[in-house]
Amino acid sequence: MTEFESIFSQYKNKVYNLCMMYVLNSEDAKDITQDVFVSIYEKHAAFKNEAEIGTWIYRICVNKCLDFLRWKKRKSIFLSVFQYAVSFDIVKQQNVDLHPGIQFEQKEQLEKLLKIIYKLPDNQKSVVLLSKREFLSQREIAEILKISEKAVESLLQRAKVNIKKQLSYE
Amino acid sequence: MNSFKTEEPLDFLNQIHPIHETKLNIDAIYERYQANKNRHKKIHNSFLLLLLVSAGMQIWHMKTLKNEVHVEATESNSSISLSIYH
Repeated sequence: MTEFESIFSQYKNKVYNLCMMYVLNSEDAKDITQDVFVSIYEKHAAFKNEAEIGTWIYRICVNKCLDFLRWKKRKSIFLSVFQYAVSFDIVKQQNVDLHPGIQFEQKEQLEKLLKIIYKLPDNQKSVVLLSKREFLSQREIAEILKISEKAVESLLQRAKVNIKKQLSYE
Repeated sequence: MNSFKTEEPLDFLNQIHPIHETKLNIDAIYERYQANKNRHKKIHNSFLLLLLVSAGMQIWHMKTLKNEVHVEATESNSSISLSIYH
């Protein structure tokens, strides 16, 4: 097994799940996951620091997901110029692909929560997903997002306040 | 099951959302890598071709301009005539 193959088998589900949380759609998540691993394949030989490989992979994944969301937003704004029927709010049109194992009564609540997270600003969204879904420490998140640990803490607090506010509106 | 309105909402997210398994194959990554490489090569070649054609046209244009325009000056008694023709 080559080095890349072992990275692939170790991280493919982690990357795919993080992409799912960002884009809420299995097809897009699969596409971004492929892109992430193509980037890893191109650059892994140059990457020397084995201990930090996880951080590096997460950073590529977060950046690819955020790039995709920005592109999708631009596309939606561009389309809305020509078609009045297309809404600016891409979240409303977004079909959320939930795991088949989720019980029916929880689906609605989870969908609501995921859509609120989807609407958060990029940094807040990343901090929420990396800490609450990937269980990464504040230090690791700070390294991935290239911000300070204090900034991570404050972003998480702001995200929690925003989520609670949004939930109270609904 | 508690509702996330009464609990910490983000903890709720983590309790109920199972991990997705992907069937993504490593061969798909190699194929995509190769396709990306070919696409970049194509773009690079097209750009070079465009550059070459544009340079060729520029040279041709300059050459034809030089050949097409003839300037002749003649002097007779008290007048000077200047003719420009293709």
